[in-house]
Amino acid sequence: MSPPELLAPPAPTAAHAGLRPGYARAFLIRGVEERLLGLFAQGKLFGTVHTCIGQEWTGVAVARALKPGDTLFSNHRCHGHYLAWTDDVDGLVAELMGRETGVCRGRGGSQHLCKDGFFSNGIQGGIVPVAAGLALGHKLAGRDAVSVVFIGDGTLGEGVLYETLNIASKWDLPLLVVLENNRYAQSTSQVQTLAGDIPARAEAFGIPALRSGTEDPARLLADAESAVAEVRTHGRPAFLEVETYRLMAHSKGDDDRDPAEVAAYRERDPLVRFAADEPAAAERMTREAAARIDAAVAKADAAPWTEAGPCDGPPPADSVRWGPTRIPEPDRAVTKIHAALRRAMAADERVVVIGEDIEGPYGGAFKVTKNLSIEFPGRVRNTPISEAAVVGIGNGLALGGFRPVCEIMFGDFLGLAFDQILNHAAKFRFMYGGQVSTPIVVRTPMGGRRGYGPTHSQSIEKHFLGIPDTRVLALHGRYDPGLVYDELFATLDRPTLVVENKLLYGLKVTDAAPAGFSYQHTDGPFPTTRLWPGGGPDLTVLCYGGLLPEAEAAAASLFDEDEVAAEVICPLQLYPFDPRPLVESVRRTGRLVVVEEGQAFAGFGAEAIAAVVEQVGRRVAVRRVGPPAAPIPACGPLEKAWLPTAPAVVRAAREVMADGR
Amino acid sequence: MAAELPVTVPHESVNDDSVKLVAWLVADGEVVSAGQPVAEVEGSKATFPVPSPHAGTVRLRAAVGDEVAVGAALCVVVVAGGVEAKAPSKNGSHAAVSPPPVAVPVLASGGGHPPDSDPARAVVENPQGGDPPPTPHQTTQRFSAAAQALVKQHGLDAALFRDLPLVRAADVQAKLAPPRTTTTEPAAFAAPAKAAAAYETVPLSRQKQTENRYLRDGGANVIPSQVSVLVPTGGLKDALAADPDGLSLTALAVFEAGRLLARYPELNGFYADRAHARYTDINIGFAVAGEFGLKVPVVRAADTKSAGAIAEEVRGLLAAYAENKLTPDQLAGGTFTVSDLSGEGIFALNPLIVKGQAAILGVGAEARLAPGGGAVFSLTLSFDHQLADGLLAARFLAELGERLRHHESSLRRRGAGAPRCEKCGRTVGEVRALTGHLMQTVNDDGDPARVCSLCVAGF
Repeated sequence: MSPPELLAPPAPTAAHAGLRPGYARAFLIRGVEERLLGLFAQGKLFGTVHTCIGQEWTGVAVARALKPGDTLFSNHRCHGHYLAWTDDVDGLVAELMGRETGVCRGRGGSQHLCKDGFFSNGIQGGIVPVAAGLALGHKLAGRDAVSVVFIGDGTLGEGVLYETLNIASKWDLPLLVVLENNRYAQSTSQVQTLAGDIPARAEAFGIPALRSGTEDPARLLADAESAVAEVRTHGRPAFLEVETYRLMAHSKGDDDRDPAEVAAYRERDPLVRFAADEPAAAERMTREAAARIDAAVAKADAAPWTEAGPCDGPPPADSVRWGPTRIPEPDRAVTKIHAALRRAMAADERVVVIGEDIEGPYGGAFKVTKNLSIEFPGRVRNTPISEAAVVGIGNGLALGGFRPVCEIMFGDFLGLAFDQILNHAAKFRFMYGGQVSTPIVVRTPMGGRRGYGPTHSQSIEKHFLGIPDTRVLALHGRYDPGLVYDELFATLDRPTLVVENKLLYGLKVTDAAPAGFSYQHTDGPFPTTRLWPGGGPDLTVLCYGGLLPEAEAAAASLFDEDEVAAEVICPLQLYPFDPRPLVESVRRTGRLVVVEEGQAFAGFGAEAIAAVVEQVGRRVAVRRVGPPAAPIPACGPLEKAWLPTAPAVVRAAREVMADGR
Repeated sequence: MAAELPVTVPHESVNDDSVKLVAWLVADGEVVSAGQPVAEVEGSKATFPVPSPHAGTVRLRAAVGDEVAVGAALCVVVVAGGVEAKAPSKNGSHAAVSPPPVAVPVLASGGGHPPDSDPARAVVENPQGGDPPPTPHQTTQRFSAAAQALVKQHGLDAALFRDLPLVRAADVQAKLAPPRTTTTEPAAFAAPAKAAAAYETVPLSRQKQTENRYLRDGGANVIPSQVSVLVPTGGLKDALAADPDGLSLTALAVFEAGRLLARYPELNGFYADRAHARYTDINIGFAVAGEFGLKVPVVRAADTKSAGAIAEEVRGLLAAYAENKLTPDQLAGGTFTVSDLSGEGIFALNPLIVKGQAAILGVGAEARLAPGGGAVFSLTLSFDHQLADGLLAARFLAELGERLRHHESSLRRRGAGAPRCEKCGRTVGEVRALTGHLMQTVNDDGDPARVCSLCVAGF
């Protein structure tokens, strides 16, 4: 469809009494944003602002069609949507001025607002599956609520949008997608970037699409109401395209549009025409808005800068305690994990599992969810192959009070979902000023030794380490993985990535140690395990997850052949990393071998060694054992040579023993 | 179905095979949560609580005062119900489809499984390369290849080593030729042939027993030797007492010994099986004796720290001793020891080498050799003659003495705290060195005050 004709006659102003409250809110939005531009010029704002001047009626019309309990998701251009829904001038102004009284305590700023079921994020498209996830939450909880997401025509370039439209249609989610078509993505005209038809995109997924515009507020109001009613009454998604025009720059100083084009649209702007038709009413609305804005700015000016610190306090400083590891019922890890998921689902209705191929009878590529879909109907769902949307929907479920578990079939596929973890799940609590949390579990198998080749055998967890307010766990066979999940569901308060090694699934979980050694672990949840040599250690070996069996074999061989007693330290929680068990061990031994299956460069081992050097001081003999800097090959013998193994650990250990003498 | 799970004594310190149960923190039959401390036990270096790893009802298995072996159960926790609810018939079906476990190296399974293959069918690997012990709680033992060969060669009974989890060649050799010194002491004191006088036996405290074991073990492995030097002084103690940074003689000795040991590795290690084991770190312990027995807190990496930092650390460790709060970590890992008895008025001492170390430094009190003469203090080094000799020890002490004298003069030069005669400007120490005596008077407040014996003026 072509953009609106510039020469078409403007629709008549519908300045009747029924539209007055809407106009008043639109003038408030415009007044706030014009003031924000002024405050920006005075240096009172941080970062930039994206104004919706000219587009105000979209948010106003949609907000008026919704009711309390509904939820709204927005993007970088969110002030208008926010004010239309919340009417919270004070919170918005203080937020942009970085004050403690800001709606997100000044942590989020212009693009990251949250209040009363309203959430915005500055990443294009990423918030769409989150909105769908909350729509799923409304549906599962039996709430008569609608989830709305505002996107722009620029967002049509993001793939996750189409993943979500597909799922929302297939699952009949109460999701309304509102597309504000202002014809430009920043400074690039959609003529250059957009192929095909806009409503046809939604219709291709079986989603009914309506077309409206801000030039005729009365019609827009009616269209918004019918779109919301479509979603609420039929319990399925709808798509509303709103043709509009942004009268100001995308942000600041990035407007290359023809001034004549902008001027022509300004003449057609509903607020400009309303002011011409009803100057007294418009003047009163502007004056009332200005009074509220003045008060908000004065209040924010007097408020303190935000002092909201990091989410977690400093790591514990006391020394660690070790207790013997006892696993009373040895069993295969896959059985233990399955049983723990089953326990969690039975105990807590909020636990919902989504992922590819996880429903019975197949039960997932590694059979972890076997038969759970039969036992808990509706709470274990097969998804399309859409990793980003799967984790995004999980994020929305978590915002909606659920405890979602997202299974990613192979860890290698997590790259597709990285944005959902990095820019959504991990950010919500902090950037929304602590108003929400994202208790989501992402489970995935990693590791080689199965011959699956370069894209199904990797250990890429290092790319997920160090994201504040997240947790990364790596399961192993010497601390009950079922217990890990019990502890996780009992304490789940943040996005948690659980790495399940592929070989681990089939291994028996026991506390059996090589003769002369014993297994112990630290107290508290997600403990560090150690293989303790009777009589004390000469050397420390650090490993995690799937490499514990290799480190264990290396420790046995090192004593048999070299009379070197190695203490193997195996943390279960990779991030946040508690270095104390490692540091205390290296203090005793002065020698450390680190072994990891993923690429060691800028990896977990490097981080652990940094902690040791910082805390133990100099003169620690260190070696790292990792794979060569090349993708992991499929060919069996080649893969075997590529992966770090016990003999490689033994060789490195001999080197550090020679170093230390 | 209820299960009884043990709460065992954790392996807290490498030196303890057993601990003493000091107190129960729960009563028999009490319900505890996982992680809740149930008992307080005393090891050789500290007392610590033992948490229950399980939630359930406690049944006590030991009494206060008992010695309980590390790894043995203090109590059991009765845990109600199966922890893992299993789907019915699950076990049966697994048994039916899974091949029997086969012990193969991990890497043998590297190739060729299609992505959708059921991991349940994967080979169950046993990377230990041997059968796991029949029960995990059984004490297991491992002989190195060399130790095994020796045992076989000499036809020894493996049971001789049952107290050692890991047996090295040196352990076997020790049994073949036991050190002489270890056997003499018990024989000498075990049973006096004819008791000349009546006596009663009073059991030594646990602390003293541990101390004895340490010193006996330390002595067993060394050929002890000793040298002493006398260091002239104009009042190092006084100079230190006036130091605004709060340096102490102990801290100074630790500081300078730390820096010197980097050049005397023979004194920072131990003798091991015809080899010299050199410590890579220089961690200096200093002996403290008092209400809580003899303890040796350790200043780690003493060669890397400033004198001020060491002084502060020594003060902190002494404060911890005074509150009996020294942790096992603060007491472990020493590579050299200082015994400073200068505060006790003794002239010289014969310090005993600590287990796993090569030398110990003793510091005596300042003493005047003759009335009116100069003052000296003694430095004594006990060392293992297997690693060092008298000449090396003498050079070490001479350098150390020289450095301490240097500190004394620089402290005096700083002189901020040292009072000086208001006329001649000499310090108390300088006047004393010149005249051999000081005059004393009583000031206006009735307190005694020193008077310069040259100028008859106040300080």
